[in-house]
Amino acid sequence: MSFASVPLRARRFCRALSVVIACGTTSSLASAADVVPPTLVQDAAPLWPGSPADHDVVVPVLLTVRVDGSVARVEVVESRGADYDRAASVAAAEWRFRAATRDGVPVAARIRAEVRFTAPPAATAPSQSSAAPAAPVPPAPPPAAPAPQAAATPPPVAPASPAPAAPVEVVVEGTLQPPSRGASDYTTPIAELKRVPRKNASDLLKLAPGVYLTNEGGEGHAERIYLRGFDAREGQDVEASVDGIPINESGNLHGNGFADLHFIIPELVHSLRVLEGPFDPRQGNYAVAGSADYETGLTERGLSAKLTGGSYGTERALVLYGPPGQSMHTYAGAELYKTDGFGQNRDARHAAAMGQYEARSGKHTVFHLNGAAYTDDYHSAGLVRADDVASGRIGFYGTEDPRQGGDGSRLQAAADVQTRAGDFGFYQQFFAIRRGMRLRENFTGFLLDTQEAIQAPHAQRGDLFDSHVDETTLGARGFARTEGRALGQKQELEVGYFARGDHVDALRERVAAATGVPYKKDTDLHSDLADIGIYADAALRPSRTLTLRAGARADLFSYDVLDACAVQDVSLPSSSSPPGDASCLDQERGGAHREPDQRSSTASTKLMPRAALLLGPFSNFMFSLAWGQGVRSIDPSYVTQDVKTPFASVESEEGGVVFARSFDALSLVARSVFFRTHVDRDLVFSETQGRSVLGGGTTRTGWTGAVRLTNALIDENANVTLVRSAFDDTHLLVPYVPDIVVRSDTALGADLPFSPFGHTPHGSLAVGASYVGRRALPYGERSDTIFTLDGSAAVRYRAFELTLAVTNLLDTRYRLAEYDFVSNFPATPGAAPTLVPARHFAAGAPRMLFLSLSATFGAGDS
Amino acid sequence: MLRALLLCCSAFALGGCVGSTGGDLFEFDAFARGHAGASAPFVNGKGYTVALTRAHVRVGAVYLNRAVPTSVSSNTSCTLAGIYVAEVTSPLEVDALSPEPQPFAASGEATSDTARTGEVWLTGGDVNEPDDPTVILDVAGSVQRGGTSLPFEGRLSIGENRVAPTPPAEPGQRPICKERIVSPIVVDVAPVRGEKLALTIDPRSMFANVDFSELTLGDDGILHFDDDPNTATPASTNLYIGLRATSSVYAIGFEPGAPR
Repeated sequence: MSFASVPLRARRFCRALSVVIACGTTSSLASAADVVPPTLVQDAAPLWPGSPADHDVVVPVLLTVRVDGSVARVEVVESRGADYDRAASVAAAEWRFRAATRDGVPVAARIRAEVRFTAPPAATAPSQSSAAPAAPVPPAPPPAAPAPQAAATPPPVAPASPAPAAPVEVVVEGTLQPPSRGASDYTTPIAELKRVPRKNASDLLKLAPGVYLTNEGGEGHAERIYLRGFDAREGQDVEASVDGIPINESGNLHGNGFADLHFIIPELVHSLRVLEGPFDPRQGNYAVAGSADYETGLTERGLSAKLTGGSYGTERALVLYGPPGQSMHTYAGAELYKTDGFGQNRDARHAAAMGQYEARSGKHTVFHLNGAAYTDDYHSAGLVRADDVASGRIGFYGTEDPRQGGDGSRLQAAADVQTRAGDFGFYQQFFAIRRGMRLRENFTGFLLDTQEAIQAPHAQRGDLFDSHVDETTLGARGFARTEGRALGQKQELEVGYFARGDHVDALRERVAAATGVPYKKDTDLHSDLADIGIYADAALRPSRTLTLRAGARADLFSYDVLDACAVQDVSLPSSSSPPGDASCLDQERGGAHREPDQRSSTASTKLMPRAALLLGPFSNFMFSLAWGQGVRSIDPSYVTQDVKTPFASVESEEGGVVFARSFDALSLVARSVFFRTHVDRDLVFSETQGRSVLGGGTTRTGWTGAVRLTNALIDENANVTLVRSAFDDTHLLVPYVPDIVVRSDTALGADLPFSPFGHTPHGSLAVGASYVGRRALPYGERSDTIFTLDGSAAVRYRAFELTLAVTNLLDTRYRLAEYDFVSNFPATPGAAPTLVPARHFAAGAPRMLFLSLSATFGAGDS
Repeated sequence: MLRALLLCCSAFALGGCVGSTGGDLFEFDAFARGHAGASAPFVNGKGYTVALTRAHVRVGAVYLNRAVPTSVSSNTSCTLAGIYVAEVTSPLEVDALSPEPQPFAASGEATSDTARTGEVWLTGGDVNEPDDPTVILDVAGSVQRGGTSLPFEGRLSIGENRVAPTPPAEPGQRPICKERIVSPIVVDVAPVRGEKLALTIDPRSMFANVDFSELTLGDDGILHFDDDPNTATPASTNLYIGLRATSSVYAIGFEPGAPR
């Protein structure tokens, strides 16, 4: 894991500090420029809760302002009495802002403001009240009883009169991240897009351009990620983290860097940052295609419960809790889920729990404690041969081997602290992760169990892999950041480190189809892995419109690997060295004894420079150039004693432009990016290994366009990616990678035009549309195109919400994943084997309906 | 920049996809036939004039592989380590005296790579199952030498009768599948989409080293080939060797046919 995903809370911290500077306070510490706080465009005056007083009453509040400018949450900082507090909250919730921006991009923000109840002038005119958002927090005026003489006067609504004073503090949150590295640095607040049906947290990745997900391993199996021309497998080429805690599993036998995101409860994801390329010195191992960083948080405070029932016996129970009055980063949530699954052999069940507590000490220190637990169990249909489906031997939603499936678990705990002292900000995080995974997959049927001379004669016993991985990870990360002024501009410097140690036990056996017992041990590795890296990142601004962000990162990867099954053959079989059928063999050769195991250790370093040049903004346009190198460490099974570890190195460059503008309550962000990426050792899927193995060099070039449009009514996120990914030597296309990916997420919401029992219900519609072009497959083949629509409709009335979600709205029968390779699933026992490549696929889910009822108590909307 | 973008978008949108991973993957029809001259009398390597009246060969499957043939049996695996480029996995009882195409029941699959090695699987079912009484070769005819003509017939199977003893330290050294697979058959052919695979069997070559004088005359007045290697005469053994000969007996190629 690396700095690719600098902890979000650290970002919040730095961002908050920077805004303090931007707002002209006396603090000298700032981390990033280009942050503009929200500005009021429409207010609503508060109503006197009782009789107007003879002096102003000011209620200080903290407002959370969405990217569409609406107020998501009102927190009373200092009470002026329950009536005033309530009236102030009601008024402030109606205010509209021009959203805060960071580098010209609208972001959610939290600001201090005050609601002012203006006293009537000199006991003559009727009393009136006014709003004063974004005003300095004044010395708290003493609460006062309303003036008796005004008591009889109904409190009229006063025209808007925002106070002209500058804010004293603005805390931008929700889209907080390290400084932008260019046009491919996508930070996406989930906001109303949460209403688009999504199966899990992995699905949120589709909000970033060029992402396509497949899954042939079952509901509990991590999704295979295609990102902007990369086949990143299950995260091997995407550095993934949640709240700064690494998700990639070093040394995982199924894929070094395997990233199972299913433990993340989607409702607790507040925002997602996807950086498509190795352009940030904070990015570390596995950031080949890029990195994905989930920020968790719960904006809807109080206690929420949600029950879902749907097609194919799907049931889900979710509870969320966020103590009212506390930060959205203090929350707890848990879910139980089970499904019978569509088609054959797709049943699954899982449970997850996540919790976090945020505490403050003094003005500048924030602590977080968080933890997560997850467990799952599932079956998988795997891949089926297209010719078997065509012949009717297997149904479209059938399976070749019903023994496929798996289970897994994850426990993690982390703590971090962020503080500042003088001109420096500091951040420190510790994390501990315990992960277990079992996976049973059969890609090739009855093909790989060849007869060896030392084995008793046997027929093919079956190719079901039974892999098991146990991993314990301990790690820490931290940084210090400072800044100063030169050339009339703010200059910044950050240095940081990342340290991670993993102990991994990995075992893979093959299981006989007839008996269900393992007959061969392929791999039995026990690895101690370490990755320690340091980085430096500077932001140099020679002028107001030119920023050079440059830095470098260096990592040392060390391996100590015990292969407990290093000998699987007997060089000189004899009666004194009988081979038997065992897998891991000790033997006698020439009187010398040989144990079956072998230990290997090695270490290597990698230096990765990265830079981004930002120009602008010029009339709402920001231009950027970015370049960087990244790395993917190799699988422990490749480690040889004292042989330098071969890395997969990536070099990426791009040029892009971002247009960001707010039109009153409407904000628009549009991007266009041309990119090129080269990897010297790409991953190539191997059906015989059941995973990807190192292949040759590849280069991809392409273009991405993306749009985010938000206002109070609509939230639209759409993107298009065109890419060509080819091998360096043959210039042939890299198989399986989609060259066209189009995705649109749309959410609409408005109050309904009726108010039963005095309360207005809120309705919403959401649609997610995906199009994936015909993907290149081996042997000059092409896959089918994919077009799917998912939708939902919801009505919220007071504390209750009813949602109907439909996935695959058109009930398209499509192939989610397609592969060409050799397999042998004989139609009848003993039939001649199929040894020529054939088409295989994993079926996409048919139309499914889900009905959810949720209730929220305790704090209402925030 | 805008123009480049438009061109790029147009290429993707109109072409749908640009480039290829190379190669081809397709289905093809396949047939087998006997050699055109097989039904005519011929003189074998031992000087006998042989006239075949029946020659049926049970073909379980046909494969083509990219691997270059070697004379050394390098492993005990039933299949080659190389990449297979074509296969016909439906069985067929081939009348090797008929030059007419006899189609396999199911189509085959191929890539467009060039094959160097061919395999003919002589099996009635599971290639690994020792107990298989299926008759693989069924021949009959007459043989003449020195003015004497005698009928003969033989039915050879590859089952328990062909299981060879193995050393205890390497019990899997001689799997039965290796008896059933005729390999390597030298070929130099690249499957072509739209063409048909043709397996040509020349039963005359199976008799090349058969000395009919070694056969015993049955009470029925017919020379019989023995199917039991333990009691078989050299002539029976040589016919079995001829059945498994990798040259002269089997020829595999692709011929033009109706496009699929």
